[in-house]
Amino acid sequence: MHIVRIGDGSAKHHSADSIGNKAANLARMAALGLPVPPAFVLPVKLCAAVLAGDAHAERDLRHGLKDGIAFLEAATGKRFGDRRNPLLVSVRSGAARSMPGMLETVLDVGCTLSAVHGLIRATGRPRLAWDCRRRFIESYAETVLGIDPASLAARLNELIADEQASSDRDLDSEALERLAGAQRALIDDDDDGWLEDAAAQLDSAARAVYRSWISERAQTYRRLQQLDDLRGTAVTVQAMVFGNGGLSSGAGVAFSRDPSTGLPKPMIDLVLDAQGEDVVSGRRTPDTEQTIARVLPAVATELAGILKQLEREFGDVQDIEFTIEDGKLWILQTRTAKRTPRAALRIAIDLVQEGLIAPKEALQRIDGIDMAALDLTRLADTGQPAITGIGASGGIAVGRAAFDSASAQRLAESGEPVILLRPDTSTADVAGFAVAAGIVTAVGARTAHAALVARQMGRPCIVGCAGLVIDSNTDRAMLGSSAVSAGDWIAIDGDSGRIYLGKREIIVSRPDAELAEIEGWRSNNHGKGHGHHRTDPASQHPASH
Amino acid sequence: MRNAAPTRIGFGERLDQALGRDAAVEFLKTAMRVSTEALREGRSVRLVRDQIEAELVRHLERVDSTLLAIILRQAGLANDIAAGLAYHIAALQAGRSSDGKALAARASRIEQKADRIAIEARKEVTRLNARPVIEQMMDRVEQAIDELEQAAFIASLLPEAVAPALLEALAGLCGSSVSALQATASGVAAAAEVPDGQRVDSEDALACVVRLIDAEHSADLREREVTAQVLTGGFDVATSLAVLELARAIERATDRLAGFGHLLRRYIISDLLA
Repeated sequence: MHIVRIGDGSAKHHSADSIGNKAANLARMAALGLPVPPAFVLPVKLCAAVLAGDAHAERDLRHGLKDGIAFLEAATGKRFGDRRNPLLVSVRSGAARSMPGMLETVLDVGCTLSAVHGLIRATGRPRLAWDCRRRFIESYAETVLGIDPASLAARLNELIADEQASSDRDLDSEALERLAGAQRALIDDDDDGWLEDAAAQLDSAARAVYRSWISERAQTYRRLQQLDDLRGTAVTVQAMVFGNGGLSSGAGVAFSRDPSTGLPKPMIDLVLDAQGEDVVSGRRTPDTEQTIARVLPAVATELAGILKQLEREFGDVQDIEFTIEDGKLWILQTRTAKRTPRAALRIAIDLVQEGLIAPKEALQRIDGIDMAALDLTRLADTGQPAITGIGASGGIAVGRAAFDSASAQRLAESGEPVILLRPDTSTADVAGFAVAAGIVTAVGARTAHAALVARQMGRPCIVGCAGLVIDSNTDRAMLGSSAVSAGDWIAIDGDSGRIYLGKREIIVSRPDAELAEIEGWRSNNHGKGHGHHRTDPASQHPASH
Repeated sequence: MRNAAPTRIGFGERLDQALGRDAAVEFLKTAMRVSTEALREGRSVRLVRDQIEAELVRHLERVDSTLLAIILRQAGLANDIAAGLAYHIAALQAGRSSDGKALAARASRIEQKADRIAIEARKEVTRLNARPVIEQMMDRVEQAIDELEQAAFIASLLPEAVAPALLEALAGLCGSSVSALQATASGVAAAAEVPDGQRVDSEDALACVVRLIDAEHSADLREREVTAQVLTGGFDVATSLAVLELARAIERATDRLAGFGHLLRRYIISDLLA
């Protein structure tokens, strides 16, 4: 068994069947010369053998991890668990087909106390180092040791209250150091030496990822999604890069085109001094493209070029996750972007006109979309909006205001359209999304997971509405200087991000020119005697988380 | 304890408080191992006692590491204030809302926490009879924290619309203070390794001293740049006063940190000569 090295200069392609979809895309990006943090992959075929306790597989696993870490050390110039310049790694799952949230990931592996010291020495940032340590303990305790995360979360919440902080992001470095110490004390009984042994951490983390393949939820998911033919998960071990090291660092998500409207311009959300979770969780409003261009101009140019390159290479709109570490751009993932039906139509036409795909391929991509969802809508009478946010999913929605998912569901049951207004775009609100005609949030990014869900559902969505303040005690909200109570009518424009008070009339039109173009392709296609397949553009672009 | 540390560990004092948790655990493990082996192999009690005493002395000699860990904690807290300040100015530059009151309140809480740490640290310095240079280093970082807290307070009072050129100069100053604090933390972490370490440890620590001096020079230049802009720009009194005071507070912080750098150099050299 050989590990696959990513970032060793090789241009070899690897199939998703052998190393998982995510790792195959990483390898493809590295082969293109794109900045991908070096990684190595234990292949899918090792999974079943390790789970069966096969002696050869055990040996392959040990040797694979040892060889792989030696490769990462050489590639990064850092040493695993070192006290001077430590290498930390993420240990991720990855099957041939995406199984979002079903398999395990362990982050910051190698973060021993010595490595914490080394991180402080290498970066000069005690807060970053202690944050890595406590994130590692939390991740490892839950995933590898199977400890109920509630006890660690309770300690975190106590500390947040003691420190009068608003969240863990607000905790200072000393508080995080204390938190890491308290968490260590909580799991001391389960420590058989791994806490300060980077190699032992890695070995256990890799086994935990393999074990997650046969967890009940993963097995149920495969059965429901008819993925029973998948042979296992690969294990990808990748050098960690940090976006939370100051204002020349950050984490972001970018689309090569607007997934809401399909317009041919990149959509980039970056949160400076943050980790990936801060962007996709929707808890923070990102910086704009203009800010990125001003603060990190070289990165902005490089990113725009990479988005174009990836779109050409993969032949479709790409959704990437990236990190900037001290001004250096790293691409962590690429996948085909989910999009609204309206965007799917526009993108298909543009890609044909740009010569990236043939009309036949374009027809296959849009064949399953909901034709009713292609209608263009606008408000008959607008006037001055109450407030304006950032349009995350296009279209118009008019409905009664609700401030939580339960209220939205109650209102929807009465047959009235509902606009769900929330402080942030949390995926926990998905039940409310399903019944809402439109969604508005006070913070959050266009690229947050929940905004992505809204686009997938074809719901107009506005995020980052700084003027929205919700008071859940009184079931009221302020939209700028206007007060809105639960049940009041409001109208939202998901393209412009504008929010209006009162019930408004919606005018509907059809994208006739685009539909005529599609019809032209169909005629030509039929003339050549080709059929076409029904394909749902949303379902063919599965999420990888 | 009586032989090895008559002044360092008082009667009834907890070992983990005297040595730190990890060192106490390590010492007790060694003591148990040495005793068990001696009992099994029939070695003399006197030999075991000497071995355990030597182990305790070895841990006590690392007392500087304990105190340097406290300085590292202080540097981390100072960095937290400076980073918050930099973030606030960056938000103003980007036209984003940033809660100045929250910034000042957080800085104030951190400064109070750093004060409590400093009081405890001085007791430790006295109890452990540490070298004076360590306490002087603590003092410099504490002074830098005070200046940064003052800067955060002034930043919270900045008018809503400050001219972009002034914000850019202030952002540069914030960058200098963050760089200085990173050099402080890196330097202390490297210095902690010097007694048992390799040549690279002292080289790294001394390189951080150079970075500290450079950051102070850079902050000095940027502070003058702000002063020149304010005095020639025709801004209103509140803006002029706030921007000048803010720039001076940040520059004073980097000045304290440059002073810390000189002390760190003295500390490292004396360690190398020992």
